[in-house]
Amino acid sequence: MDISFLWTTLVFSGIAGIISIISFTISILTTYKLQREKIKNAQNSAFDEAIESDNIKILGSFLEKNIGNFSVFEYVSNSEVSSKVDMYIEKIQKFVSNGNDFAPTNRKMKDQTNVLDKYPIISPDSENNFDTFDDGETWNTLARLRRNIEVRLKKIADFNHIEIKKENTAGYLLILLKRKELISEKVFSDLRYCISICNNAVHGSDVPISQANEVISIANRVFKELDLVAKTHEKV
Amino acid sequence: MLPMLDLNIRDLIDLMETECKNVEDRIQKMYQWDFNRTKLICQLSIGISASFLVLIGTSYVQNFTSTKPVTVDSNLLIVSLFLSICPAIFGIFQFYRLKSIHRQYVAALKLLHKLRAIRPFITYYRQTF
Repeated sequence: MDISFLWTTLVFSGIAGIISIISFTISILTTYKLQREKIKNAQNSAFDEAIESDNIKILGSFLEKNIGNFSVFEYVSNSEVSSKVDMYIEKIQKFVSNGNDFAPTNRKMKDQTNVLDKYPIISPDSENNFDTFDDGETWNTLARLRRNIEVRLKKIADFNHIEIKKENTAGYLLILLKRKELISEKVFSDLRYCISICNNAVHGSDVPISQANEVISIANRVFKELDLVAKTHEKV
Repeated sequence: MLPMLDLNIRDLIDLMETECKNVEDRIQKMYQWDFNRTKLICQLSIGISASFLVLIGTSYVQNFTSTKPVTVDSNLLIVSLFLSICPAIFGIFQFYRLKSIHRQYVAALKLLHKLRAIRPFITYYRQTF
């Protein structure tokens, strides 16, 4: 059978064309499918849970297993991916840099008994009790403590109609409330010490358990004092 | 897509954590290498298509001048011509994607900068868990 040169050429060009079409389609579909899966994994409830969390294990695990899977190409080409990645890194960034107003300090306690002005009553709940470390996770506990201090200070500011921004750190709020004379020197120095130790822990420095315990007990005492003052004011 | 560099955020974290010097230069080299490789694939794909088009044209002319010409359906010829330009389409598409490589390089540096800001967190997490 005589197979002409033309036929051979046509067959080979056809094979090359079909191979390129198949590889092109497979690569597009695979990329698209993988990208969708990654976005789905990094989406909604899991993302919200991670972004709201103060737990280093949840934050770190989500960063490594979900956010870390996104490629730079996906980051550049997909706005949904870039916004999620940026939001997540900024969350951790804010967490790490939060309250940097206070460098670690050598504490000097001044006795000053009278606490000033008005405070909102914050009823004690499980979130406000920092009595234990979970498996020695100093980071988590002190991160939560710092968040709690921030929440307390924001409530005091709100209660006294002081305009604050969402991104204001615990350290900034403490200085602001001190300037407005809404907290005493003692409360200021106690909380400043607490925030600086919390910052140390969050930045990865070694904070001894004894010091972490000390900070927690100081914070608990200050919180109780603030609640007491608020109740006294309410009665008056 | 197929041959492009698939550098992900975890790779950037790993690169940052290795504490090697000039991470930015290494990333630049990776993208440079990827650029050269993708460009080569684009050129190859276009070259393959061009070769097939020339071959089809030559064999078609030769078929006319041949003493024993074979009959080829014109539709089949059109399909073959289309299929032979497919590698070129693939190559042109890759070439188009190559345009985004500088944006990827800039984005990689931007991400690296952001990741450096949370390095204490990452280091602590990796050491603890």
